[in-house]
Amino acid sequence: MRKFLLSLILFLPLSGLWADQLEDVYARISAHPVTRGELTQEQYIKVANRSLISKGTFVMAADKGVIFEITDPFPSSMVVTEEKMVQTLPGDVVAVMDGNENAMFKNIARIIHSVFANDVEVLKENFQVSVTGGPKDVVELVPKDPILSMLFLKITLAVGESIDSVSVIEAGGNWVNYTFSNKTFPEKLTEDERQRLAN
Amino acid sequence: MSGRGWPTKRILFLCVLAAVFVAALCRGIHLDTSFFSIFPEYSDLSEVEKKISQNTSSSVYIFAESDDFDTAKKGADALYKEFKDSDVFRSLTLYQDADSFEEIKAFLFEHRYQLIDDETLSMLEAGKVDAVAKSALSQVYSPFSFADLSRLDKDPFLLTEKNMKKYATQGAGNMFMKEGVLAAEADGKWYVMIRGAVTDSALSFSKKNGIGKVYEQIKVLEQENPGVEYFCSGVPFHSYESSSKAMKEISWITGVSLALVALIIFLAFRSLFPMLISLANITVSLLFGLAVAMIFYGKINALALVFGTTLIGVSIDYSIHYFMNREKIFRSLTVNCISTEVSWALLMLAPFPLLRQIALFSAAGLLCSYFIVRLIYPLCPAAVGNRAIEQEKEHGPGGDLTRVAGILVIAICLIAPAFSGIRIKNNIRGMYTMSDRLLEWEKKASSVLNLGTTGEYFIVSGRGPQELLAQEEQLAAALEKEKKAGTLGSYTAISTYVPSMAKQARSYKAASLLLQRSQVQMKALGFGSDAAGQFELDYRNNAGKVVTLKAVPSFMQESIGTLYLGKVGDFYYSAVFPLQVKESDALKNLADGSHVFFMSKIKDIEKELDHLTKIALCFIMVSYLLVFPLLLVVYKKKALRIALVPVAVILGSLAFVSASGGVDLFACSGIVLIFGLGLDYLVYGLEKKTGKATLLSFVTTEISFGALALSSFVPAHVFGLTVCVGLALAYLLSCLINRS
Repeated sequence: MRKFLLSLILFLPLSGLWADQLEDVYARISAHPVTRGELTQEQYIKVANRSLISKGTFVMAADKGVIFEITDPFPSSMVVTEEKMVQTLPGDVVAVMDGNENAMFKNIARIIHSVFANDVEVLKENFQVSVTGGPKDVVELVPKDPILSMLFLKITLAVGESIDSVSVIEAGGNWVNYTFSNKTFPEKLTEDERQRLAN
Repeated sequence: MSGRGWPTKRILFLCVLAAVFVAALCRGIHLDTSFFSIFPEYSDLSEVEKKISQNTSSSVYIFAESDDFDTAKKGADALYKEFKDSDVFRSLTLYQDADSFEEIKAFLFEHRYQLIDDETLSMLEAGKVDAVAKSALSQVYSPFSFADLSRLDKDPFLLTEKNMKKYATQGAGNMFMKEGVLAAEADGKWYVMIRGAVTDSALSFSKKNGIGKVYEQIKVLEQENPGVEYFCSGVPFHSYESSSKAMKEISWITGVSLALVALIIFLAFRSLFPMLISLANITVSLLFGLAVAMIFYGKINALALVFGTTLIGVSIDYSIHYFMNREKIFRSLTVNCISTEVSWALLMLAPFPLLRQIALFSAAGLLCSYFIVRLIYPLCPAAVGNRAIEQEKEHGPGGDLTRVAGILVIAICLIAPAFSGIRIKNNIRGMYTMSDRLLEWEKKASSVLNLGTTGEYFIVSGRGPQELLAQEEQLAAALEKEKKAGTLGSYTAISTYVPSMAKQARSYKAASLLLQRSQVQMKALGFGSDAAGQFELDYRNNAGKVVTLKAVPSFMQESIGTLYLGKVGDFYYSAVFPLQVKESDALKNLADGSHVFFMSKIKDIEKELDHLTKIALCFIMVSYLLVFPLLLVVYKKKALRIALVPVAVILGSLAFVSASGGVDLFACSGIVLIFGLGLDYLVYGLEKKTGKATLLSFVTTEISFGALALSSFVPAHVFGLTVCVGLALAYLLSCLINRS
């Protein structure tokens, strides 16, 4: 009981502190309206006991969403906005998770969008948040909802000037690391990007 | 038969009364509060329709609303705990097991070769195996695809994953699973939903009515939990409100009618005895009508009782005429009773449960009243009513003026319909007016749920379950085309959960094409050389597997339960619900009328009501043809003069109803009754010394139907008003004709 009270006393101010730190981290991320760069995805498949590497590019627009373009080894793209997630596969096969059609899609899109955008309220609503300072701030997001835990157990962001990497641990023992490199910070999106991120 | 003799007939009548009351008491008095039972049976598929109604008529949705999710969830939990073990609901669900998704995933994985999605299946059958394989690889390598790769060695083409999205979101609308409950967010508010099905006993009309308990508890919880509001949706709430309203109306219509009728009789006879015996007659007649209806139908709709209150005004006529004219009036009384009974009997033939109940209740009650007057009243002391008789004078001789006035009114009545234009128009939406609160709740629930359901759906049939599923698949293929054309957003059907065995076999066969690509696929996914062999072995081991309705995960069973209607007669049936329909005419064309039927409930009921209205108009003609020979026998030469008046009254009433917005079934039923009742004034008028009695009976009948015209239930209002106007016309004309 004493241990529980002690941890409660320690935890309460810390959670407030993390909330402030989280806001600082996302304020830094959103200082760049657009971040563009290269993406490396390393995906560990437990049943194969090996990692699959894919490469491509990314565009993050703090208030609009994210575009991931995978070019190697198999092309695909994923556009995440607050309302929907649009995945394009070869042969122009488009899988749209449109929030206007289904609330579950909307919720998932909103949560993923919040990881990359300055939407701290959505993060706090859906995750237990902890922030660790250091050369890079490390933000750990643990889903509160068991339904979300079925998609991912934990999301960890490493943030310097902007998001440097995101790692996602999935329930079945698989994990994915997204590394963002060669970043540039243009002032605005291209017309094509703007259209793709329009809801 | 008159006089104080004939004890056998009296005893026999009393025995019949007693037997009917005992039989009804043995059967039990049951009020039907179901909202659906007021509608007519309108198709050959009425038995199948009933199954769908049974599902929908007990389903309820209760929402807890708040500014934040936690408070809304807390509010929903408080209400759920209150009722989860009560006898109000046969099922009540708030919490959703997060494992449901795992259960669906396991089901789809186990049957992945039999349940290949339509898009992949058509690609495989078109020989596009490489495209299917590459699409799966891209999916695996795509960021944030959330594809479940835990069984990648056994499902390298992601057959499970492609189906998962469809299954997990089937009919979800705006609701999604959040922290173990179904929730929705809109306009800054959070809504948490409780789903349930009420028990039959909860719907019974008593102080312990389950819906009443839900309302009470909601009130308490809203006070205890500030910030939480509740709203409800579902047929049981409408049934509760409409039957509660009906019972209140029965009370005040009966009270007002009885009080006014009693006062009039007391003033007319200046004696308590005729008043008391008349009220006793009414009471026994009402109870007899109720008892007969119970014996025949088992239960009576509360709304039928609202109509039944008119029995007060009709049966009191017999008492008034008896106390004013004694046995002299029996011939007219018999003629009038027969003409009114003919009207009710014809309405009993209408294929409309509510109308049949009203007709049987009224016909039985009236017959009872007639026999009480004929058999029991002669036992009353002779002095009763004499004062009124003394005051009665014969009508003075008629003059040219009254003759001209009579002919003029008849002429106006005869030509009026030609000017007003008889329009048959039934409006089902106008039949029931929701309370403001319920209307607001339904609007909110529809917006929160956003399921996109309409009253339109398909019924599919087959000689066996497999033929049924095959028929559904053909319909589903046509619906897919309509989806692409923008006619509808989506649809729900059993075959989307469980395809026919033929399609499952097709699916398994198409999956064999993946074997040729398995080596390359496994390598691209980083598996060893033996993985492709394992995949092939696994495929072979799944040969002969069949997905049945019972194998569907429990999470999906509820949806299937509402869609699968089972065996009715020689056929198996299911329902397919199109959602977010933009153009229902295009969907209607998909029905072939032999295995696929398009049901548009509101339009079909309105069409059927229009058809019934035409039948009711025929009933009027039949009444006329049945009663005219009787008049001819009883009144000989006078019969022609008598017969002219009902024609004028019917046409005049039709003109009035048409001018008021169109002739609907209830107005038409009213006109059938006007024929029977309106004839009374003319027939009584042919007897001497009946002017005051006829006036009194006219006033009391008008009070009864006038009170009904004040009902908030639209059909009762239309029925009451039509009869009121028609009888006024009948009385006016019979006065003019008799005087001339």
